[in-house]
Amino acid sequence: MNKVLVGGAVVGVIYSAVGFPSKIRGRSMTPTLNPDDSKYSDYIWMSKLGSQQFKYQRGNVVCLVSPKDPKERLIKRIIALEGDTVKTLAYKNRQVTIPEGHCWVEGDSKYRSCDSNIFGAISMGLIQGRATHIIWPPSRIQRLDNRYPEERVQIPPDSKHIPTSNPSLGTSKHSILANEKE
Amino acid sequence: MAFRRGVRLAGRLLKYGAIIHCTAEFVGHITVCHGSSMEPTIKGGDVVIVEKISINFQNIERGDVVLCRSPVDPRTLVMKRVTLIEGDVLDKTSTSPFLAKVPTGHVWLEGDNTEQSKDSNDYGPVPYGLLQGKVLLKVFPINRFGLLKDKCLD
Repeated sequence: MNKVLVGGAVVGVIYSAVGFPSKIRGRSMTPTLNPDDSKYSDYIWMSKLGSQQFKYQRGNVVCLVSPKDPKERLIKRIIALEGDTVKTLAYKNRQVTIPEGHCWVEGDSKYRSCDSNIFGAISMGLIQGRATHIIWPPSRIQRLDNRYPEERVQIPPDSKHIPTSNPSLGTSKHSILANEKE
Repeated sequence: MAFRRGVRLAGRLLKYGAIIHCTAEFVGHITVCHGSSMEPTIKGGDVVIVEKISINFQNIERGDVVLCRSPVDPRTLVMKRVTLIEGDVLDKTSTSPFLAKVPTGHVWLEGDNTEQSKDSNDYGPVPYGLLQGKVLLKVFPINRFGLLKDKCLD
């Protein structure tokens, strides 16, 4: 009994402070996650490291509590941070300046996603963690990159969040293929 | 000999640390409050017990005092009262310029000390996902111990 309690507590600490695997449902992040030609659902590693500091970068793929339904978790990419001005894709306003403490999230699949284009900028406090890698199926194991549509985001010169010089941290099979196509 | 004792102590500390962390994370914890936005119900220095079970079952009602991540700064926690829940009509005399109804998946928060409180009247309805716990009761100071069901009229 004591061992079960301690085991449970250790799992609890890892789940809340380190991370856990998560199955991706839906196609809103295609082709990065669950590409159309894949028979199986991707599993990602959801990292909780640094999640209490909320120091996320543009391009990070994150897990957030849906602002429309608190029982639902969404996985989207951060496109813009507070202070940035973003050109929206399907939102009521053509351009949005992100308010303090908020960010703009989008699914990689432009038109199959319930994201900020539907519900607007979200409070950063809704973000639970960051998806760092695809861990299953074995053929798709890779690190997720931090590329985002820079051409649609205007970062003010006095921004608190300076983009890192190398937006594509680490290589992935997907980004190599994309570069080759270009 | 001392080394073995040290290892056993470290193991025990890690074990209790893990249990305490998980309790605080999933069940509830004690919080010391700051600020004046909930006066006179809660004053700076008061100690309350926050429980984390109700929010996981969306069991929040009008009148509950909650701990919430600030919509404008995720690293700050604020303590406010839920005055309206999703679907409720916003008071027409309210000074806020926001929508007529509290949207789905959101709540309206207000500090009991209306003048000294930065709350939904400033930043609008708050998504449910920002709520971190419900205040169960105040444990200190002892002369004002108890549930915070209604606004204190002091």
